[in-house]
Amino acid sequence: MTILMSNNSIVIESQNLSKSLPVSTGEKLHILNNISLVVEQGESVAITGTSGSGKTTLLGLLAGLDVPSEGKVSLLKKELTELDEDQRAALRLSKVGFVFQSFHLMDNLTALENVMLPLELDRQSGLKLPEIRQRASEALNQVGLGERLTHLPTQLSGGEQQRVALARAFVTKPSVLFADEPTGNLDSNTGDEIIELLFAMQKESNTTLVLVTHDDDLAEKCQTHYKLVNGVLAL
Amino acid sequence: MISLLQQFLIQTKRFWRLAETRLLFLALLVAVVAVTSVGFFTDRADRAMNVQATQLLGGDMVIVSTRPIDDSYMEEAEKRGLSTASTVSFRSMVSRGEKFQLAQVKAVSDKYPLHGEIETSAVSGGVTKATRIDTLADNEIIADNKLFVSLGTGAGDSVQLGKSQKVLAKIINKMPDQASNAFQFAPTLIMPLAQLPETGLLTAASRANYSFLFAGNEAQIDSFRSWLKPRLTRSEKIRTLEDGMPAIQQALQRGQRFLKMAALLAVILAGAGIALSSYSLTRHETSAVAVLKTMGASRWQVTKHYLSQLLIVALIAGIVGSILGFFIQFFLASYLQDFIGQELPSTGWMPVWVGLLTAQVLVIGFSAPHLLQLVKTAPVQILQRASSASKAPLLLPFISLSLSVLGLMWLQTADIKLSLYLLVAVMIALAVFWVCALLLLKLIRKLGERWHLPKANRRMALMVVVFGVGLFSLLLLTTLRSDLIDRWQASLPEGAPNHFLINIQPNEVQPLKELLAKDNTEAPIYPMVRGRLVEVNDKAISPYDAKYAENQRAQRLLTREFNLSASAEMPEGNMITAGKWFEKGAQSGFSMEQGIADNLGVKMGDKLTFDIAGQRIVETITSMRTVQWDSMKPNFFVLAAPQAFDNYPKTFITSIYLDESKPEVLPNLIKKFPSVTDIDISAILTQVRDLINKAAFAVQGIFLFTLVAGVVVLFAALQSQKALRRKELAILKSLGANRAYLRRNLILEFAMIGGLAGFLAAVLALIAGNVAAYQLFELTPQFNLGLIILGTALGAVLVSIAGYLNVRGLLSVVPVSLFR
Ligand SMILES: Nc1ncnc2c1ncn2[C@@H]1O[C@H](COP(=O)(O)OP(=O)(O)O)[C@@H](O)[C@H]1O
Ligand SMILES: [Mg+2]
Repeated sequence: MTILMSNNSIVIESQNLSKSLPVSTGEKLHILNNISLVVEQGESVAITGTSGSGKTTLLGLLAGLDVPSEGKVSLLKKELTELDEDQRAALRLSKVGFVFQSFHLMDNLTALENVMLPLELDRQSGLKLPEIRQRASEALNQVGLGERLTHLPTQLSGGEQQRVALARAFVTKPSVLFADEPTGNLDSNTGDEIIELLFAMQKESNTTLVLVTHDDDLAEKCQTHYKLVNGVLAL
Repeated sequence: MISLLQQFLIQTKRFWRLAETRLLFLALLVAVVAVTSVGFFTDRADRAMNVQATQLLGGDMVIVSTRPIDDSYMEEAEKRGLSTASTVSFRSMVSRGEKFQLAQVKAVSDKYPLHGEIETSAVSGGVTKATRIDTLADNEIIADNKLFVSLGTGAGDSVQLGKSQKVLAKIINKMPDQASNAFQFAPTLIMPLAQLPETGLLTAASRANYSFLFAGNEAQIDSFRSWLKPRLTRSEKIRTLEDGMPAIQQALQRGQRFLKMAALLAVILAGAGIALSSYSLTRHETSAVAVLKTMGASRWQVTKHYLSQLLIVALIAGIVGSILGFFIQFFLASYLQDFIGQELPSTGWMPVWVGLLTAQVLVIGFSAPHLLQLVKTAPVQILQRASSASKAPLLLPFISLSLSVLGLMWLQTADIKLSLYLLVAVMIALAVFWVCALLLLKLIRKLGERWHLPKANRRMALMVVVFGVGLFSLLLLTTLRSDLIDRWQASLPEGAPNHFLINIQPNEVQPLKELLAKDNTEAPIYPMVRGRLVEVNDKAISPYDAKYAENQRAQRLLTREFNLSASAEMPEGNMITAGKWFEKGAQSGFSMEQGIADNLGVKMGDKLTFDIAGQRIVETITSMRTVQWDSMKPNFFVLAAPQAFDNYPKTFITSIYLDESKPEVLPNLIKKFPSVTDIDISAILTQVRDLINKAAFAVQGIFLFTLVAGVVVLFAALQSQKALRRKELAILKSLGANRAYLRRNLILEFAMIGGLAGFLAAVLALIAGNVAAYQLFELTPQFNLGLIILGTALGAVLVSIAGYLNVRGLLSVVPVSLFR
């Protein structure tokens, strides 16, 4: 870890982050306990752990998709616990990308339209439709799907769908990318291709990467590797 | 701006790719087409009927009285800019040489009639022309052909009327107020009012009916009516449009009510389709919204996106639906045109607004609650594998749905009280459906264990309710529609009498009977005497009694003479409601029509006294009957025991069916019995039959909308559960279930759902149908077992076919891809 680096480059920081949920018996289920971590600009971080260890829950908290029970999280220098849902959303706009285990493409949109979506959402960017289309098709070219622009997700294989998801995540040149088991639904060969592509794109755009996986080999490809055991983080 | 619109269109194009959106659009379209086509049509037909009714009445408003009417009304009306006319009518003898004929004389002012026309011709069956009263010369009068025939004259001959000689100038073919005179046996004679004094016929003591006619725009008439009402004397009555509306128009109105009901049902059914498709849309879009939120979309952006898309879909459906509705209405209207008798007034814009509004109300009321749910989707849901379908609150959708259904009902019926009733009825029906479905499913679960039937669950209960309500609407309309059409057609079966023979003299009865028997056209011949009801239980009775102050019908009945008859057999189509029909050889008693007895406030056992040309007949009421008034057969309010009128002056009447293929029958008959008068009603009959067939066709057409709406609901319901079923099938397949097993199970499940839904729907439709038929169309209740069998079978077959078609695709997919 490089705690000594200047504060300016900190992208994600959590302090004593805990998450617990009420369960039917009236007691509380403690999923995460006192998690503190710091992630810097351009860094790649892996979080591993057995299934059910709370990896996804942690990812959701760091990305501001969910709120912690206790503790603080800041993302891109904003204290998430002080923001409401829409303010957190606004923070993600064009600056945070996601890649999911089950792709989550819109099935009524073509590959191109799926990739255009994050650019269209960002009204502030002032991009015109032709530019948006241009950038989206470039992104698809980059993931090797330049010939499949008008295909619907149902017409694409799992690996191709995840490529579209990568293009969609990187098209806004985000500061941070969160990936939750990006190869979980793919066979190992296809998974390897996706990971290669993911790291290549991450390096090219100097994006901070938070990668959640149960695969230790994959985790080794990241600069930093956290292990989550019983809701507690260890290096 | 352009890019914004462009962006919007692009969004709409993408939105359209969702199957749920297309279902939503279809449901909206059906609703709008149903509402607008019925709206366009009834709007036009309504206005046409009003025009026709005012023509029948001769004016927009008429005052009638048995005494001369106050002239100040006329002056006031003219001051207010209304057009006016007046008439006096009474009976008088007309003679030419040795021949005499009683005529109904109508002396009319120059502008009569204010609406409609008097059509005349020079010879019987000759060229018909509209004739104005002020074009008649000083001594010219016009009359029915009957008068010409009985006096043996032609146009231009002169006749004696009271103290003066008049020239019978033309034959009247058509005139206002004719319908109510069809069974008035004295021929009509019209003369200018200015000629009346010289005849010396009208004295203070004469019995005559006076009337003032007024015409103007609606506001003028309304304000004049309020001015007039407090000033009217007891004998002066306002006649309204309804009075001038013959049975044909009442039938059409009944049809209109049915059409509006049918359209409303189609709309509500479509609403169910919309609610279901928005539900599946919401489920489908939940993950999409979560993804959008991870990308940074705000709640407002999400709301705006979906709301604007829904509204634009509704707008397009509204516009396309209105256009389709307009064309369908055109088709309906051109079909009905002939008998409304004149050019239909052009269509108004109102139905378009109603159509557009309907679409917006439907989409907002039925999908807004889902939309709110959708907007609330938490972005974190995208990370959780089983997207925990957030529990939807029930109250909001309930309120939103109820309010929009109420609004739609109000829009259709323009009657808030009726709408509230209907809404409550719909809710009760839904609750009953839900409870029955749960009970039946419980029962099936018990049996199912023995027969290895698919497991019954809550989802099935929901499907039973949804399909049940859809089938219910269809079956309800089917029964009402066939009730309505049967009733219309049964009132005039093939071979219904098409001629009345009246004025049959007592000595002609026997030979006429024999002649008719030879032609196989035998029909009962009834004696007929005319009498005025003068006493009830030995107490004098008059139309001015306080008891009848509010009862115009009773007043009218007491002013006129009743046609009394006597019969050993109860006339066909009559039904005893109290007491007993005359026994063999009975000599005394009256059998009275129930409605008129209620109206006059007389009951079983009351003693009635009739004055028949100065002679009195006194009898007690020994039975009450209902009568089929539209049967086109002689019908009587009061029937006496067979020989009751043996010693009174009387003529006889019968109605017969004359086959058109035997044109010689009638002339032969008239030659043998010259005094008999024939009234040919075959033209009216043809017109009425034609109307019935065409109206029935229109009713079927609207029924089709409901059918389409029902199919949309069916598919929407299936679509809403497709995702769940997909997962289920994947699991079953991965557990080793083969296709044949899965297919059998699916079909069984759908058949069960459909059968149950159909059964419930039929039972409830039967109940509701009878209630509605009784309330709306005054039809008598019936029990129909066939409907229940049909409903159950129809439900099972329909739902299994549609259900299988909907999920068939899922059967052939490999399990691993189902996990995606
Ligand atoms: N919404 C929730 N309700 C109840 N339990 C939850 C919820 N979310 C997560 N959990 C539980 O928290 C634990 C961690 O879940 P998760 O973060 O998805 O684990 P991982 O991604 O490491 O497999 C699991 O035991 C899971 O069952
Ligand atoms: Mg996980």
